[in-house]
Amino acid sequence: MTILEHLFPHVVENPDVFVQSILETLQMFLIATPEWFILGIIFGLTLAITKPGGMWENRAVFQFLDKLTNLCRSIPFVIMIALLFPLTRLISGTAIGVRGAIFPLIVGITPFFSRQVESVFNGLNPMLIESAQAMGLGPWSIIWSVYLRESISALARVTTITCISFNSEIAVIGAIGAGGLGDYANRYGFERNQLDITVAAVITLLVFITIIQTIGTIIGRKNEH
Amino acid sequence: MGNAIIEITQLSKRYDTPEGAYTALHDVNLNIEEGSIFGIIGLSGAGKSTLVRCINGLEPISGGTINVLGQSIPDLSAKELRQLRKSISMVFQQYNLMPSRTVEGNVALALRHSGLSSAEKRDKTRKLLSLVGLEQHAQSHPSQLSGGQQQRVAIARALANNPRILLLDEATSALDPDTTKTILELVKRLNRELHLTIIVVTHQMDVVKSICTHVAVIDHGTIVEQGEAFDVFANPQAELTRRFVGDYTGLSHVIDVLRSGGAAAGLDPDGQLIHMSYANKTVAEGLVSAVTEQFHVTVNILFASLDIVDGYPLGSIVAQYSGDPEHIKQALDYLRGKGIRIATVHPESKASASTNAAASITKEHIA
Ligand SMILES: Nc1ncnc2c1ncn2[C@@H]1O[C@H](COP(=O)(O)OP(=O)(O)O)[C@@H](O)[C@H]1O
Ligand SMILES: [Mg+2]
Repeated sequence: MTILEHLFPHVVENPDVFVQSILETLQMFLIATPEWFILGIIFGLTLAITKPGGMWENRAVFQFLDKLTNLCRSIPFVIMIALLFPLTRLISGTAIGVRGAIFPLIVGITPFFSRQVESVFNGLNPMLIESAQAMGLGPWSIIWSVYLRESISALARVTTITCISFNSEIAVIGAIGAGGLGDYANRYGFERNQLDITVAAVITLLVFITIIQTIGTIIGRKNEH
Repeated sequence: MGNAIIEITQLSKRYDTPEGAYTALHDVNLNIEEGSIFGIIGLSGAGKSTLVRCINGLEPISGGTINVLGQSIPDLSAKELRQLRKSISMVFQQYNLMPSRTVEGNVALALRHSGLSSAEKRDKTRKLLSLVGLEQHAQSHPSQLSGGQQQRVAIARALANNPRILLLDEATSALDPDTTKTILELVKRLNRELHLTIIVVTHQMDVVKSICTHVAVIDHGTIVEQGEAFDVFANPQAELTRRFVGDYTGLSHVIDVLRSGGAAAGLDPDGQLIHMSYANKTVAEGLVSAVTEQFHVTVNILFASLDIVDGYPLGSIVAQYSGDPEHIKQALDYLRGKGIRIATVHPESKASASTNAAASITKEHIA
């Protein structure tokens, strides 16, 4: 314990705050991730199949989603949080704390993930889709058995990349009031000039990202052929 | 045999491109008989793939009619079309197997919605894989197989729903000659044993020659010649067909040699180059030597070949005739009378031009 006390005096002095901040970050990550993951797959898939020449070509839907994605992606996340403030309050009942963070987090990351997913599906060999159509498979079967099934490895890769970007979003929203490691590093490390706290937050995030990356790599490898 | 399983009349297909409408097919008329192996041959970009994609409705047509198994393709709903596609399978040049699935999984994919239980599916998959000789590779992934093996998997997959028609779009074009041969043998067996009607799209005359009963030659989106494979081979009419046959038999090569230096080949500048095609080898060779004596002409044989087309022998001789022109004419008339097709070779052109008097060779000439 002495080494830890020596290296991280302020962390050890008040360990509950540190543990609490880790839990908040995990909470934000675990609550929002399933949602942006599913939404991103849906939007990315819709973009890929409604594009000109796609399996379910639909100009209106494609143009709408395409423009919306571009618009959302061009707004910096901090500004997006402010912009969404009233809507967040309406949806979540509050705009602060972990609860108030979920909605802007999802809105912030989904366009990024959707684009990644879209590029994965656009990279699929179109002849695979054509041969599935020639086999007499219907559009839903093709979505499930070709688009999704054949993209597991690439989807694991872009999900990992998105998780890492998502972590920085969590830190940003944490620092402006939602809590978590971002808030911890900002409030105790930066404002009170306690460098050991900032370093502890960085190490924790590093461990976190390493775990995500390892899981992503394992899933990707298992499905590569 | 006898009834048309695919009937196409005045089919046209236009693609809308940024540069305007592009006509890929026009006025295509085809009748494909049940049980036949029908070759569609043409150069790259001629419209072959477009034509087969119209047959299974992957490509909407712009005009004309197209009936497959008694159903009018353009009039079918999406659902009816999917149902019909179970009876019209397609095999592609690039195999198009699903990389993430095992060999078995690829075949089983075609059985989705087949109503079979998973045990029945497994059973059927195994049977299909043993039909194409790949039962021991059931658990492999496509990337672990050779091109020929992958194409066999694609064929097994294509057979999963007991189709009546098999469309092969350049199915052997990515394979080496030996593998091509084994795949073609398999195709022929499927035609015989399962009574499948097979459409073979290719740019290789070799493929047509070895398995097709019928052939259509397509050039710039239109059919320039069609008929029984033997007849088209023996009596090519269209310029493109003559080039295909000439390239295949080696005749084009001979003409190239003659063009680049007839004198060096020891040719008589006044002699006539004649291409003789015949169906009966022994008779033909006997006749050629007989006319030498009978009509007092000199026959200098430059090139001879023998082929088997759709199971029938077809021979070809290029020779130079010298002597009295009147005698040569009599000699050629005599040969025509014996069922030998005579065509004058013009070294300037890529193929032997059939003279207006060219007799046709039919399988009946095979004694
Ligand atoms: N989707 C398409 N859009 C526009 N042009 C096309 C399309 N598909 C094919 N074509 C054109 O139609 C012609 C015939 O193509 P294709 O049927 O693939 O020829 P083949 O199979 O005989 O090589 C080509 O000139 C090709 O460029
Ligand atoms: Mg083609």
